[in-house]
Amino acid sequence: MLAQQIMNGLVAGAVYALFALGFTLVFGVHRILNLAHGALLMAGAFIGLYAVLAGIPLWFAIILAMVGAGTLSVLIDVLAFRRLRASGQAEFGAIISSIGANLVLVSIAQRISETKVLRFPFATFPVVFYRFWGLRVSLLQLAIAGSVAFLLGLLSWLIFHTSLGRQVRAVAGNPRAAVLLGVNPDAIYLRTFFLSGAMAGLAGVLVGLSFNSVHFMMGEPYLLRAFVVVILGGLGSIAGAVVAGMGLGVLQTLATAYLPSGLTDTIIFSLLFLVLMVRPNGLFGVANTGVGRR
Amino acid sequence: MMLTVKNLAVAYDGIDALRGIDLTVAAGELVALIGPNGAGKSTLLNALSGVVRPRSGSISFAGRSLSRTAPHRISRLGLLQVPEGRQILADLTVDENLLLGQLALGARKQRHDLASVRALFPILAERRRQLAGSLSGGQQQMLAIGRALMGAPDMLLLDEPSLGLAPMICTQVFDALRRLNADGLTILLVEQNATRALASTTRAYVLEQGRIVHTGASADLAADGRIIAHYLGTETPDLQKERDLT
Repeated sequence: MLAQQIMNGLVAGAVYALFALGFTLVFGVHRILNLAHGALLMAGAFIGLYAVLAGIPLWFAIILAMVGAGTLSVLIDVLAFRRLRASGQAEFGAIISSIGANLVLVSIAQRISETKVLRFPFATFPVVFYRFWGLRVSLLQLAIAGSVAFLLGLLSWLIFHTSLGRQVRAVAGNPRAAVLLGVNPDAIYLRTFFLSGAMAGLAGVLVGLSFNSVHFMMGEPYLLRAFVVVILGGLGSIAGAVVAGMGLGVLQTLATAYLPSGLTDTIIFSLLFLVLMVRPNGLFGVANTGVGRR
Repeated sequence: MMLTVKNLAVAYDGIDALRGIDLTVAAGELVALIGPNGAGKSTLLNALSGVVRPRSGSISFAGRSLSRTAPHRISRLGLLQVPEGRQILADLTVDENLLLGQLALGARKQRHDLASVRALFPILAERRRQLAGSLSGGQQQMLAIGRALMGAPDMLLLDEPSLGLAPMICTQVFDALRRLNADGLTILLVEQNATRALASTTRAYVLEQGRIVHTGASADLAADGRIIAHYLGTETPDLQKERDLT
């Protein structure tokens, strides 16, 4: 039973990690807390759902959701952040303008869905269960774990082993030096925002499929959790986001299963304070961290 | 001319930082730009690199006007700056810093690879997997120069490469610059250590309060005691001592 809960928690945590990674990537590179990141998860779920309802096969709907949420994310950068960055006032101003972007996206979604909770048609994803060593695993859970593992691998290869990754880390660490080396920071900003949005979009579809529920406010709890994940893991740290995301998933599942209901968030945030008392920069963080850290 | 600057003016918030700057560097030259702290030396380099936008005047590099060129494009044209304080990427390894330098190549032909940069600065081979932030100041300066070389510059702008370096390391860095110049690299060297800069270059400009106040052969400027004493303070005895040591 405990093993079953832990496994369920790891799968839920994989989605947290996927979502939080985009959040931490944007923070690491831009020093921007993008409070519209939850709305991108919601937008991904909406795009995926409406695509499926329109008769598009799920795999292609997922691609549409990723590209769509990635494009929205780029749009937010261009419309809400780019001018602020040029003025050098990004840190505080960007928080306000990301709240604005969040409101716009959420109210559009509210209009489109007429404030209803939407559902994927029955068996959009094949309902199949397997048993391993006494554990019950659904095909959906396997698919989630597999796709998240693949994307995390892809992202860390991209960041740590390619020219694009070196450029991203250069801009994160020292934008002025990067420019003098021929890095075009605007192109890097566009790409990090696209990657971050696409991961949030995929997370949105996965969340929508897991709970079979898509609604305009679904991004909010994930944004709060992403804060916890990112702060626990260390701001800007990729490995930290993965470990903290998985840990949070397990903790939350166990708390829901074994403790009186309604205590989950209390426990999660108490743990956050506890960790910060011992390690103020998070589990993997260092002061003045950037995405350069593994 | 590799680089032609005409009547360049730069202002920060309405305050003049540079006025009426005329400067040329021919292909293959090693030219010094010296002057006291705050004279506008770094501002001039940053205007050449496009990081600072001039108020008026023109800059042309290899026959091409740079007035409206974005800084990363200027680097990719082959006009590369090694900025003051090295500005190495501390979270990247030594090799990653060097590989990043290749980005400036664009479509131009490679002139240095990892092997030739390591031959020039052997310490970079020893430390290849180390994070650049863990290198000493002198090693970081070598990394910054090596990184720029990876981008096959036609012209290198160096901002205070001797800053904060021990005299022995400084000599090593200047030797490397002279060797690179002998191989055909055009260099504009900004230095506060005027004696050393004049000793290693053929021609020099003296900048003071945003204007060029002297220009000529480095040897003549070095021989003119008033320039050293008045504009740059006396550093001759130090250099003498250093020469005796090496």
